[in-house]
Amino acid sequence: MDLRRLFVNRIVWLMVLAGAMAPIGASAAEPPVPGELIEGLKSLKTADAAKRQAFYDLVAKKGDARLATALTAYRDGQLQLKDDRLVAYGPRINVPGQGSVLPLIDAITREPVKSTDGQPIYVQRPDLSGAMRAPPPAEKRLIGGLLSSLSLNDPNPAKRKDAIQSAGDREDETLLPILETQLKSGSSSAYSTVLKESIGRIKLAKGTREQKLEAADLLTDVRTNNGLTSLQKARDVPENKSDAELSARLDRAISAGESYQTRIRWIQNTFAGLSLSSILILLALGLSIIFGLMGVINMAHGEFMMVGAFTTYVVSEFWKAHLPGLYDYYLLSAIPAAFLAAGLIGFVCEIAVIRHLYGRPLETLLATWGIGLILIQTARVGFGDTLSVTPPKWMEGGIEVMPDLYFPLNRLFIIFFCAACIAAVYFIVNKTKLGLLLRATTQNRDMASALGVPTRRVDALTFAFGAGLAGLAGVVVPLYNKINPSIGQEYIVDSFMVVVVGGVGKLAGAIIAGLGLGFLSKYLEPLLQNFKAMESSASVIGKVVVLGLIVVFLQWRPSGLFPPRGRMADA
Amino acid sequence: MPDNTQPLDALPPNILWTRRGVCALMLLLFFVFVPVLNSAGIVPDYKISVLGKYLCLAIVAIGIDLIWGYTGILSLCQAFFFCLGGYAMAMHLSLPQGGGDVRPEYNNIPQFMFFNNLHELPGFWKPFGSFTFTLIAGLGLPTLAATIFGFFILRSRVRGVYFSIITQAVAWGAWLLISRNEMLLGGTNGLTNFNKSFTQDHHWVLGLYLLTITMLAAVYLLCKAIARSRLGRVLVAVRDKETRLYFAGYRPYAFKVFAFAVAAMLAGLGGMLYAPQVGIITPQNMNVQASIDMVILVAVGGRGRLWGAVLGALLVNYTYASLTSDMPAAWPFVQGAMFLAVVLLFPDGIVTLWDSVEKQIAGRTGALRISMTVLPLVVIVLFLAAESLGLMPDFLQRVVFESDRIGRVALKYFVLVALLIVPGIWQKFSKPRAAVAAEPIELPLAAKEAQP
Repeated sequence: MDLRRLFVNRIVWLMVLAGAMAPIGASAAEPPVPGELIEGLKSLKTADAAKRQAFYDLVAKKGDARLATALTAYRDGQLQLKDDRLVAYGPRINVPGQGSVLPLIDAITREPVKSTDGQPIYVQRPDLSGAMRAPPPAEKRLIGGLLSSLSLNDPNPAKRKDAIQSAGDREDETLLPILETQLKSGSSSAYSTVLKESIGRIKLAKGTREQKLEAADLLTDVRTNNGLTSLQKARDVPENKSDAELSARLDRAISAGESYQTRIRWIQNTFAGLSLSSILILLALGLSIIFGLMGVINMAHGEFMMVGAFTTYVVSEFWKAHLPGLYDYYLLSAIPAAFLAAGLIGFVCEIAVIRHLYGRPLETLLATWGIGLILIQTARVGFGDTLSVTPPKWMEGGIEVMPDLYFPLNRLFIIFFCAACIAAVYFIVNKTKLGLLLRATTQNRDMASALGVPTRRVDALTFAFGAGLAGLAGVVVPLYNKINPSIGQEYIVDSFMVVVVGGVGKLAGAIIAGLGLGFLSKYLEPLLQNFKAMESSASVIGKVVVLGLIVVFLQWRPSGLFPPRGRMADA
Repeated sequence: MPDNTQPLDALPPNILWTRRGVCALMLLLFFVFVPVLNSAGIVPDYKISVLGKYLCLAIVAIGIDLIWGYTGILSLCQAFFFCLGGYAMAMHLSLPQGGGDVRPEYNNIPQFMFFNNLHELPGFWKPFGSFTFTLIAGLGLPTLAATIFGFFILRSRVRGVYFSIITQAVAWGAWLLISRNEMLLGGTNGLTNFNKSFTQDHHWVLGLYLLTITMLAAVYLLCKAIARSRLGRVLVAVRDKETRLYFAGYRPYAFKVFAFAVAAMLAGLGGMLYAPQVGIITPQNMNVQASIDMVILVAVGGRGRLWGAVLGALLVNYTYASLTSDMPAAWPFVQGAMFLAVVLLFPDGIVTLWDSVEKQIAGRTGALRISMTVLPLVVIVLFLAAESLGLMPDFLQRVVFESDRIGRVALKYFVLVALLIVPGIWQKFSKPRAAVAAEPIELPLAAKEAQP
């Protein structure tokens, strides 16, 4: 019965699992700026009015947002053609030793232009003797219009979306034709929601009566939050109020939007509840297994999570310093490192302290609190107070499932990571030899011992395992939050409540109670926000209400959802 | 775990007289010595305020000893009850007294309320203008809260660590709530800027100190009476064999709720005395950490002994005060080590030292051995006296070692550690003289039941 080997197997298994979960992130390279546009820009130096007009038309048709710098520079008479390369001065920067200077940058790529010795070129004041002559005022205005429409064609989808949205925010009616062309062209179906939203908002604010009616229909269609705001604003305009048909349509659009937004909020609360629960469950599983096995309430459990979080910080700093190119994959080593670090500390604590306190649960509670204090202070002396870990690039942003419904990628990762860990725990406890020994010792320590189970070693390994699980929870916390030495305290009370509600030593209990408490607190928050008096402190009051509900629940089920049965009940 | 329910007349006379002597000495020290030194100007007022503050915590500790040491339930929300009392008194002190508007520029409402955009006193503040109401609320609110909460939790037979972590959640929830500005209790800044600065006025400082020590004595006698009564014996029975008591026809939860409520009331009393002597009360006084810090006072002193709680409260707090001024970063380590040491090495706390002294006196052990046993206790008491009254000799204050990371390590710490450890080592390795089998003075109940 080689427990150590069994345990190492599990760890390897977890590491493989973690590796499989790290998505392969590769950002798609942007296509180059079309050559004819660059040539057109270069030809502006000598072109006459007709040729310039032809170029402007070309830009309006093929427009590329990356032309913005060059066009702005041309309009202001600052674009230079040097060695057949379009360059301009970038914004002033401070360079050590030279003071405030203007860098010379490539007008298309915006990268600094290097002189022959490979140093970036800086100048104190601009030298515009070689610059292209600025166009006449009428053309300057034309270029201004082009510039604002250029961003609507940005090749970067996110930037393009932002530009379309901000056109709606500014209610810029000059952009209306471009937006409508884009919507009609159909090639941009991915943007249709945001296009409709912006067109609707512009028309609603600036359009004629017919356009407003049209806008109401468009916004009924998209039901987005921005559209809803515009609709509500339009409803309160006196001119619209007097128009019966228009205000009826507006009301219809508003109610459609509101009901959609309510549904979105519920889904988002569910999602937030799920991501909160998954961390709580991960913590509670360790607590629950340890409590079930040894009757030990581990007050230092939150600190094991903190150890995991700080290990993640150290690993990420190491990758930043030594493998900056592969930083996106630092989690691959952070996950096993956090598990091992927390597990090792847990193992040492068990052997040095907890082993001597069996059968004295209240004393163990105090002893583990003392361990927690020491761990917190060690972290504080060693690392200082607040730290943050840069999350990997591929975890930025989110998936827009429906209009206005975003699932942030880091939360999604947390949910999947925790789910995988929970599944792994389930597997280890129910299907492996270590799990079998663990369950045997939990059920009847004396009998298990009599049958040859090394109960002391099972205890130590289980404690280390539970601590390691907390360490894994510590890996994901820095993905959405700053970390500090006392971060464990924020989660520990909640995870204790999960154990109390779920029943001791029951995995299913911890999972169901964790989900229940996570959802309950996330659903209560918006409900409480409906009351004026509680608006700003809804989350705190929500927590207190959940606590009250737990006390009531214990009247009905004193030993939690899944009470221990038989002889264990009296222990 | 030792209990202290033995009738006094069963004790040998020499022990009885030793106890009486120590008791009289302590009374003399606290009631005569300290006030006289203070009035003579030898001990500054702020030292008296600090001593008064720690005595308030000693009152709380006696309550914790009653529920934990005697009844066996570990509550981790005593700081919440403490703050109910403390906030009640602080609210009273924040209001203009006796109709005179002390600060007319504040429109007769506490200053912080301006940040809440309030220009009139909220309704629930108004009754706290009356001192009688404040007294009733400061004692009654914690008692009521503990009774209601204890009834629901203890009736459903939640016990052991379950009870502890639920009370911990209560402390946490209450802390979250009171930290909100919307509660109109000063938010995270708490209540301060009282209308009278009690910590500056010599007469108030001494008066509050005397009030606190009198209250402490009264509380001690009250709890002693409870512990000696039949009721106290049932409480110990709840601790030792709850199931047996249950089947004997008792309702253990009623006794538990009673002890819990009494402890809460004592915590409230401590809080009410604490607020004026410290001049501020904040939500930091009621979080989970504060509650557990109160429990450790009792653990260090010794559970199931009321005077142990008092000694523990003073020892831990003066160690804290001394260390945080010399080596701020070291205190959490020392505190953590204290938790571990008290659980692993001295589960019965400091009181065991005194027990062995008594045993040796009863067994007529040699003077050297007795003095070696009593030495650590004497050192602790001298340390407390020197720290609390600011009479630590200069040569002991000399800094032996200093660094940015650790702080200043004074000679007194080395002397203290040496004086505590050396007698222990000596006892471990010196052979006891011909053992005169001393009668065991106090037996745990369980052991007594086992005797025929």
